[in-house]
Amino acid sequence: MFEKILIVEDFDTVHKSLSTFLKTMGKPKVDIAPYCDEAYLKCKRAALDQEPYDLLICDLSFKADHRNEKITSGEELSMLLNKELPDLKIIIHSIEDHPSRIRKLKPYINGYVCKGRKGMEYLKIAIDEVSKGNFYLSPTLEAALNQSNIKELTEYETQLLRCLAEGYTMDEICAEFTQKGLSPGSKSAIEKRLKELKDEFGAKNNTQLIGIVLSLQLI
Amino acid sequence: MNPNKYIFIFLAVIIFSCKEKDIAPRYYSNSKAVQLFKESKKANNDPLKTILLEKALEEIISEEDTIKPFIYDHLIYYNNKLRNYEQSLFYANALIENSSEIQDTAKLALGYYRKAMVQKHLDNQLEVLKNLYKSQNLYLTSKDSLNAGKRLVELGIAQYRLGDFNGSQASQVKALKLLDDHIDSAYAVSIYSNLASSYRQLSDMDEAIDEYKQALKYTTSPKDSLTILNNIANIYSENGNLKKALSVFDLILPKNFGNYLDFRVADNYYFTLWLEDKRDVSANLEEILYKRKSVRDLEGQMSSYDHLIRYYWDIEPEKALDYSFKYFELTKNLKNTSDEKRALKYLIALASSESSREYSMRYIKLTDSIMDVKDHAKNVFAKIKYDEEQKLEQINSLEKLSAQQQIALLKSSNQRNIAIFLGILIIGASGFVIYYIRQKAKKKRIREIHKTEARISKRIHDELANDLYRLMTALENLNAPEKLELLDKLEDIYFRTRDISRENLPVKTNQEYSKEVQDMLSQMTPKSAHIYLIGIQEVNWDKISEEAKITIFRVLQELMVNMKKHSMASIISFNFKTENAKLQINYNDNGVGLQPNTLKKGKGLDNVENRMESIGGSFKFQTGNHGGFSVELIIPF
Repeated sequence: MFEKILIVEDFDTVHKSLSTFLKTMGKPKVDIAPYCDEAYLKCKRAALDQEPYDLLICDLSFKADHRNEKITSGEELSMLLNKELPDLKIIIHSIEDHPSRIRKLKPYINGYVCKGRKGMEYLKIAIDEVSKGNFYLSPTLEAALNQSNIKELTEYETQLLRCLAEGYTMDEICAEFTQKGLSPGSKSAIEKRLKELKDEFGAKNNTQLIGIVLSLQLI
Repeated sequence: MNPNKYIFIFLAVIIFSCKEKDIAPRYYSNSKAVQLFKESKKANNDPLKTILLEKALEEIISEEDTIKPFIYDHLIYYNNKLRNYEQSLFYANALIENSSEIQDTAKLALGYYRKAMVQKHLDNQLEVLKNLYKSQNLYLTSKDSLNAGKRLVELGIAQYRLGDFNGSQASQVKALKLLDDHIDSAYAVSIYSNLASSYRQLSDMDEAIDEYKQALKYTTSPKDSLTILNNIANIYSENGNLKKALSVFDLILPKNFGNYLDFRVADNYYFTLWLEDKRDVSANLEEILYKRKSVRDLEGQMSSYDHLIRYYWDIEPEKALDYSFKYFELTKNLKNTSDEKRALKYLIALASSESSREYSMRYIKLTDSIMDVKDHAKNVFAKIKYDEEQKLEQINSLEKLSAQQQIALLKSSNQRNIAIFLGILIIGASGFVIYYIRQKAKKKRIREIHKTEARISKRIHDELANDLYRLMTALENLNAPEKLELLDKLEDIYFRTRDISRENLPVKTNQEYSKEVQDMLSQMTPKSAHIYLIGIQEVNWDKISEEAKITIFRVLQELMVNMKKHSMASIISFNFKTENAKLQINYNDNGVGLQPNTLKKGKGLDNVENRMESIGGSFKFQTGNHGGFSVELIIPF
């Protein structure tokens, strides 16, 4: 577990609730820095004093005020500290959920948790995972980042559906596939893939499958 | 004495003899005038011819009858022949009037020529000059250089007669240039003879002889050659080169006397013989005079008197005086002023002092009048020439003026065309500028909208969503019984706020655009659904403008929001195709589609349509009978 944690968060309610939550996890030393500049200096200072922070829990956006901050965002801070203090683990805790922003930041951090109702729960998991040396993303982000819900039909699947739409029998499809060098060309392999497609499109039979695929202009 | 006169008479005869051949009228058939004209040609005497011609003239009604000029021409000719010069003059004037009315330049020139010839018969030398000048000018304007040249020859002769020798020479030289290659021998002889005569009068004897020799080259008849050689011999004689003169006379002296030319040559020959060695030639000279009298050769008689006077001057002054009287009387009758002058000179010297005084007075008067006539001739001719040239100049300047007007007109029409062109250019340019400004303004407006969206998005996200989160966190730490319910509601607000923010997030239009679109689509797809993206990797986004990219992003976002709200779809597909410089995107889902009672587009679809219009794209949507919803977007590159 982490011994020394620094929370970079500009709002009292949030960092109070955070530190309360963290203390339930084995009472580590928790410091708070409301500004990025201050957080940077604290980290450097601690490192120089041979008492470095083990974990940085950092927000991304900070409300600008009268101070003339050099580092204005969690991204900048994370990138800087990752470069200068490679041993420091960083978990981003933000309401930001834009995949491209997260993707950009991913190489410099060890975890990313989206603020929310279940934010604290995910943060707990994140701390566990990161302490084990793993990378952690809260579940909604995981889906968005991997784009697991974006599907595409492979060449194999497209050809299979086209053959079906043109009324080919299974044997004919087999012959066609073998001729075109599409593998697997065996009847059983093709039927297996066809069943998967039917499941995917929620079709009861081949006819419905073709209907769905055609109406979606997939082939 | 003036031997050249014979040339003129001779030439006049040649010219007039050609006339009947020249006239080749185009007849009107079935016309009484033509019939009478033909009859006149067959008539065997001239008075009958004129009567028939006059009758023919009476039959003609139209001024434009082509036979009219020919009838006039014939009438002039036969009246000349009958010495009815007043009548000829009348018809010449009629011809001129008729030709100018029908605007026939060639006929008009002929009319003036005929008039000149009639005036020649009436001895109105100035009129001859005037009409010949007009005639040659008209021939020149009608590009008939042959006739113009011929008239110039005659003009030169008329000028010569009036004592304008320089003017005469100028006309002859001009005639030579005009006739050039087409010169016919009769005219060549006439021109060179006239030039020679002019030189002779101007006392340039060598030039005179050269010109006569030139004339000799063109002579076709022995008569012409004799005349010219006689003149050459005379020039030698007058210049004291008697031997040369005699050698010429030896060549041409007739064996026996036949005509006036023989008398002339013989007369000159014997006179020159006397000049040479003062031998007695009285019998020869007297014989020639006698013979000349017998054939009524009046011109010749003057020459005989002249020679006899000079022959008897010293040896028999009484006889000389007697011949002088006769000479004087003859010259008076013939109205030959230059010979009269000579006769008077003789009388002044030979007559008694009393009558001599009288002759002197007459001589002075005559000389003055001759000078007057000469000067007048020169002046009048100068005036004629000046008037004609003025007229020509006026015509030219009128033509020039009209040409200038045409040029001005052309210029102004050119200017008009240029003005129109410029106008079109300006309109086109301003149209383009307006279009450009509008497009720019439109782009600016679109950009402005995107900026505003981004700003609002950021504020919602950074301020509102964050505040909500803080409130939720604070609430979490409270120990209120209604906490959970409140938290649920707050969370709902929080998510919605985040969604609004997300919908208005600034869009990266650089290389990451495609990824951005996919991220957004992926994120907007409900957990229970799949999304198929087809052909998105093949789209060349570089071809699409920044504004269009953002708009497409927002439209797809809008479609996703719409889908999430209403469709309950489990499969969503986007089909990207590039065709004919257009990007086509087809959206399909397997949801419930638009319900019949909600067929009216929602606010979201309205937004989609507005956005598509702003980038010149099109938007179509339809819903299937058994659910499903499809949209077609077309975006021009």
